[in-house]
Amino acid sequence: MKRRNFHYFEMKGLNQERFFNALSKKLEIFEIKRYEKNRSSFKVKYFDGKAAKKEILDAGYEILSEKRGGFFWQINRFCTAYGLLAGIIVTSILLAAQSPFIAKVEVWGSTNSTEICEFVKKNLPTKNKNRLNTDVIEHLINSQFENVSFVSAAIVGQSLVINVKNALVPPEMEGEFAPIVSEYDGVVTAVNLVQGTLKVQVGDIIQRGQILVEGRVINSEGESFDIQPKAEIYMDVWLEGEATHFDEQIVTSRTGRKIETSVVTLFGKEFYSSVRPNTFASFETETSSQPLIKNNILPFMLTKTIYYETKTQTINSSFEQKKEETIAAARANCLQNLGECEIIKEENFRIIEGAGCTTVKYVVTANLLVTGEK
Amino acid sequence: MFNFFNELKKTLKNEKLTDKYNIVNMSGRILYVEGHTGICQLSKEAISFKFKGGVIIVEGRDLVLSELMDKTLKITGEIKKVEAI
Repeated sequence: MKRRNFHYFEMKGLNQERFFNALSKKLEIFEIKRYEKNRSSFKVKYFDGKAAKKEILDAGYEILSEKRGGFFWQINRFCTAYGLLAGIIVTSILLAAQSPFIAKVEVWGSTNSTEICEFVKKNLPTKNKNRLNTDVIEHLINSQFENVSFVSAAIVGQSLVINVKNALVPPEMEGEFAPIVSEYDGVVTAVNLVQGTLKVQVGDIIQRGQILVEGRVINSEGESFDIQPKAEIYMDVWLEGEATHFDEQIVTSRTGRKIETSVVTLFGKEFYSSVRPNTFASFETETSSQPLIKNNILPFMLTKTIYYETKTQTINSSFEQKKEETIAAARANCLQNLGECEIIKEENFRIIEGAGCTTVKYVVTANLLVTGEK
Repeated sequence: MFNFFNELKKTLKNEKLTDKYNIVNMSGRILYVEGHTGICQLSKEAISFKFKGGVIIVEGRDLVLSELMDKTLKITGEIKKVEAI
């Protein structure tokens, strides 16, 4: 029977009978021909070719020639020989079919490139690059984006390349033009205006929230426009702080004893609980709740409640005993409102006595620089 | 499955003597062999192979070992003589 699919070998070597006997136990061999004492040829099934070749080489024979034939061989040869050609042809056809169209939009030179790119993709009149008018694209971008000063659109290959330049705003025009406002009560001691309209003078008493410099100017032609206000305004400000001392004070503190209870719940229903009776006469409680297991299948919740025993004491002390401490507390409260490295010009305090309590009001006079910059 | 050789052997009394090899010679052009244990000689004029207890020599012209498998083989060509020794 003629084998339609085969792998043919012609080999050279001695003692080939032994090799054929060994090979016949592994593969089917066909049409063994002996040309000379050390030269013969044979065929194996097409798919046994690799195994046969390995056997030949392992046995130390020299392969003089190799051939393949049959249907599978034709398919394989076709794929090898014409696959590349077919790939080139198909690719060329696809390339030719899609080349008249815009495939990609690129935006360069702008901070909001992604936004512009999305806008162009959405509003592209046509994807056919022969019909696309780049002037229309430029006009669209110019009208849509206010911060764009320059647009240039060009078709490069299958890409629509858009070059955008953002509008440059002068530094003095940039910003929110919010006025400089005083954050303190005080007196203006010196003014150095950089830009904007000054609303105060040296010696003016200023309240907290009052406008010092406004971000609007009128030029020589009488036109009004916004501008970021800039100025260096030195002010003596008054900062207040107070502390109160009570002659009789009721203090509640924890004794250190505590009782802890735990409850495990599943879907709001109690699953397990460890509750000890609360024997404290007075107490504070702290409750915390957290998932027992980190999954969403069984959401066990562990709720812990801790009871802290407390005791209440009445502390009696005169103001004279605690005077220094109270004044220091009032000063600390006052200095909380003062920034770092500020110049303190003056400090004083008043003591106001009431029924069972004494209040210390501390006032610090400091010289601050207000620039409006945060 | 029907096997011609097995059916033929059943007609003989001493079956032990008939299980060594089977040879079919078709018009001196094709020789089919069952039960060989390996080829000894291979050339255009003579092909010899072993069986249990001996060697068979096939002589002729333009001999080709058309098929060689573990237990069977097929020789094609002009077969002139088959000799078991």
